[in-house]
Amino acid sequence: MKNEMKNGFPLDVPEEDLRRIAGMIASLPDREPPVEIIDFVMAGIKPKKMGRLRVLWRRLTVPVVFAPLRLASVAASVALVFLAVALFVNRGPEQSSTTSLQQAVNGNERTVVFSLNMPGASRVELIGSFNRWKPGDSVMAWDDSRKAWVLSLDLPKGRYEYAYLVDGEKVVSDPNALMLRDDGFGNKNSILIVERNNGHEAGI
Amino acid sequence: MSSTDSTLVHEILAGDAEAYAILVKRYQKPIFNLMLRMTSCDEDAMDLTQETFVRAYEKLEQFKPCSPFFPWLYTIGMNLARDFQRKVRASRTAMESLSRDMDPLSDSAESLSGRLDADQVSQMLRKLPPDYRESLMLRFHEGLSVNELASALDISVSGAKMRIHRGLLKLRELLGEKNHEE
Repeated sequence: MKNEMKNGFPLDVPEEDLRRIAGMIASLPDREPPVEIIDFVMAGIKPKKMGRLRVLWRRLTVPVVFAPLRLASVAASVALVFLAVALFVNRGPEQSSTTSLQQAVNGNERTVVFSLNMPGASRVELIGSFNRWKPGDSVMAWDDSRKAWVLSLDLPKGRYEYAYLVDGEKVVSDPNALMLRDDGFGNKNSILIVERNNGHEAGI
Repeated sequence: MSSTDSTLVHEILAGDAEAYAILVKRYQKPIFNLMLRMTSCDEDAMDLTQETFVRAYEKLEQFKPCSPFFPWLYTIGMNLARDFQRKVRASRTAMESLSRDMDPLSDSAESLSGRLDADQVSQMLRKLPPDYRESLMLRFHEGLSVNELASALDISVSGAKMRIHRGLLKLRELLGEKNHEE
């Protein structure tokens, strides 16, 4: 069996033919993948937790510097946490946030109900990639029966980031969101995936 | 400057799942096109593309950061596509009968005559057995080295050279037949 190669091509046939074929293969057009692939993949994964071996390896490889001042700052942080918890407990009803998907409105969109339990707020707005982070476009209404600020939006399938804007200044993320993403300005955006499958609560 | 694949893998393993979106964006096109070639169906190609990336994420601890990411990902995709094809027995049978009918070294030294266009090449590539087709696509379309190709297809370097050799001959033969018919 002949298998001699020159420049990656077999020697026993006209090299010109094979070069042409290889050139044609190289320039074959590719199809663009559907835009929702990233969203669906990201909806199917969870952040990884470092295994014990990896944690041990990091501890062994990352140098630890003993600094008494660092201990002082840790102690101060712990005290602050206790203070915050105490204030939080005395604040009254616990703040909670929920986001739920409801029945499909039509073939392409689904209704997403955003709900934030924050009775002390005087105005809550929903800002996100679906309204270009524009305050005022999606003002939430207080629902006395739910004891929460509520807003329904019809959204097509896709991946969205959002947050709540409380009293026009405080940005609050959804603690029940599938994932949180650092927005680069010190806040966490919540991630919402609206899937193509019609169904119950899948997708968030 | 964009992050390298190995930097991103490091960040993902440290708990930053969002970094994986960059890898998906970077490689979804070749994986989706691989699946289109393997299934000839948009819906199946999309499902298999997603599955490839999710499976790769689950196995990410097994990835060796010193080696290139794409061939490793491609291996996972190929294995999933093969599993899929095993389930679709009709297409597999067709491929095997085509493979049996063709003598890989029965080429003549005559030059290819007639025109050769992208549609013809694409059409004839689909008729090649998947191993040969993907060897040619990885080598000439994706620009992988023979070593990377061997790694992606989980074969030896000499085996990879053999696949390129035979793949080119088979494709040339198919294109010659096509031109002869016309």
